[in-house]
Amino acid sequence: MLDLKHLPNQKEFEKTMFALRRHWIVPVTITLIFLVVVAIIALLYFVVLPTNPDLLKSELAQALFVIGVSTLALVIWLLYFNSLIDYYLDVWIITNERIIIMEQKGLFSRTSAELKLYRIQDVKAEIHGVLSTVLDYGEITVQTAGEEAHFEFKQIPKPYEVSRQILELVEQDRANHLDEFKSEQTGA
Amino acid sequence: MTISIPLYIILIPYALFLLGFAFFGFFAIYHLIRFGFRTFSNFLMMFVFLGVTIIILFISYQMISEINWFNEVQILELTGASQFF
Repeated sequence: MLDLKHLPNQKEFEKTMFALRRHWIVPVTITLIFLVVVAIIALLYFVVLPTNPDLLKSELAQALFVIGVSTLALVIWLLYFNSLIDYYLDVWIITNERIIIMEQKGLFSRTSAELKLYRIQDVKAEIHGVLSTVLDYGEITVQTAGEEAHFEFKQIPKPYEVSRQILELVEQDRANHLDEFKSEQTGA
Repeated sequence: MTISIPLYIILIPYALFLLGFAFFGFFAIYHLIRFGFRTFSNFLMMFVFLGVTIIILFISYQMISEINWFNEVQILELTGASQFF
């Protein structure tokens, strides 16, 4: 398990400033879809069965019904939980030295990257759409001087404020790594 | 002549499904332990997942135990050739 106070390869003076997750609308949407699916199944159960009492008369029908309901419940629950894990394990950790990016893509795919703050060239915040504007969430793109040109983090709450905070940290970190930054700029 | 099978045959694919569920469930918990943060919400997620899973399995067991799985179900009735002649 990760500890925000004890990050991997943490330097002595390195402090975690904040951790970013996607906006709360994401887990709320997942939960709403889950509840709608459960409600539809419950409705079918309470409407179809009482109107067709002969449906579960035979033992075979009863057995298939029990196994079917159990299977359906477990599948829906697992899909819902995996969607929540997907949301929960997508994190950007911003310290006064670097940005650690961790993204879960499904159950068997995971991306992890690390950006030195002083190497960041540009931070862009974008908000598109009515809901994003009302709830104030959007996309942040971080441009670096490295081989991997840019990193995106979607559905971030308060993207303009976050990008401003990151740029402030970048400026502070550049002052601390002035020599390294200048040598990279001149290509020396 | 009739061909019939015991009901417990249905339990075989169900058992295979449960194995698959256990596999994916294990990886879900593994991800939370390996990549999650040491926070209350992380432990809460694991607890809720295991709790709800146990509840579903318990209710399933209750419903499954009410059925006599050794009863046989007639799946095919073969008509004797003598009836046609």
